[in-house]
Amino acid sequence: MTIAYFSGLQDVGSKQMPVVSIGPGVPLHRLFRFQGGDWTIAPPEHRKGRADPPAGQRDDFGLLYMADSPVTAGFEYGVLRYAKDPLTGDEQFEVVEDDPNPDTDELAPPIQLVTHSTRLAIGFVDLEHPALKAMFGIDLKQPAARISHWRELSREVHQACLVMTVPTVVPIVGVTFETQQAGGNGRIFAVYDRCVEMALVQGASALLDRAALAALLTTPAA
Amino acid sequence: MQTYSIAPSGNNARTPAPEDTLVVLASVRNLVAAGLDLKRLRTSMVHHMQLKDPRYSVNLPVDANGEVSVRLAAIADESGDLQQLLDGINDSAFSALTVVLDGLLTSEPSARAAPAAAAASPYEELTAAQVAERMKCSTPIVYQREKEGEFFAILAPARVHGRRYPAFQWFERLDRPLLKRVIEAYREAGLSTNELWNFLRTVQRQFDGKTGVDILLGASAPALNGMRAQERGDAVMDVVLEELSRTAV
Repeated sequence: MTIAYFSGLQDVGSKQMPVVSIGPGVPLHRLFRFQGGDWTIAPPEHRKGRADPPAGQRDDFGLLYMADSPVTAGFEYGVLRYAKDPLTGDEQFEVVEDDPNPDTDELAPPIQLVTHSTRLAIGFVDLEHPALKAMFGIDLKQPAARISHWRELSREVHQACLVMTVPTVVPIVGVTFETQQAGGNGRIFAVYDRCVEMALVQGASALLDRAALAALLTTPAA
Repeated sequence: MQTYSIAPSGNNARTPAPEDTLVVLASVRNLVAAGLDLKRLRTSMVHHMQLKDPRYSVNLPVDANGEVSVRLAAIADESGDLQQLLDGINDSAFSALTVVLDGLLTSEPSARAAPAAAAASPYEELTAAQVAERMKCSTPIVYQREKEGEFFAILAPARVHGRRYPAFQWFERLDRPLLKRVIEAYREAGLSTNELWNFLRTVQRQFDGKTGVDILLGASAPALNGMRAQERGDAVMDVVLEELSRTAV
């Protein structure tokens, strides 16, 4: 992970939850294409992300997904891919350019990068922590590694956070997990809709510089 | 049909064949019965070859480009007497036909009736004319069936060469109903088929390092093992919809 964080157990709703905490002023990155996509949570019908509520319960809560680095955000959004080359069939890293839609000949709005920052020290429940399996009886990989298991676990975590009665060391504002995109190795931080304003300072947006992103991809971490 | 490696010889002497030679001794009728699409025989340059029926698999040398060249002789063999057949072979029987096979169909009767042979690489991008050839139809029919969502095309960079069709869509083991669900999901989301193709080529951790193409072609992945077809399809669509949700903002 490219940002400093603290990981430990916290009492959340009478449960010892695995929490990843980050301090104030930490940058969190997000790619978007459409107006308002930098700060607006997806409406219920579009909440089909990994940690969104299960089908039929998508009104329950929304999440603003962000990444710990522009590279991680690039993999999540599909601008960076680890894919098979059509000519050789070999796996390789790619920076994907925008092409017109063959059916409409239209070019989608350009992708923008926004960097928000944390307003204060905040905590995220680590969805992949093994403690949650025993706590809620949901195994992300058994009997099959279905995304639906992630959503069910996220719903349980959200329910537990709602019934918090004792103040936590840092406010729990969402969930976190490692990016599931091949080639990426960063972490996703998703903030509950009701916590966005409290947890984040809205950042400025700029057109995505693919060359700069590609340079970050190939430059080893210091 | 049986396969034998032998060498052409003017004196009917049977010496080991060059390692890059496969001689198939069978009547045309038997070749067809075994699933070989004779219309696909080409006298063009060396091309990829796939032997899909393990009963007919042979170890052929593969060059640096992953290609093999094959020598094929189709000989009347109605008697079934192999020895008699071999004794009657002459040079011309072998030298007349040097061909390259572009796919041997399986011997399953249902698959045998399929109009299209598989391309060498599922990631290869075909022209409309090549697709029409595989489907044994005209290019307007190709465009029509693409429009109906049976398969999809991508737009080549700078639009110099027009539409391209990822070849995996004509592989026999393709889960076609699932492909149609994926195409429909992308259409409903208003995303381009280029984005669909980028997604299908991408290695997926959820599929244990397989791509969407691999999964649509029936590759096994621990995450999907033991699932019935409908459940497997739903699990794949979960990944598709997650991808769409990420790019919808």
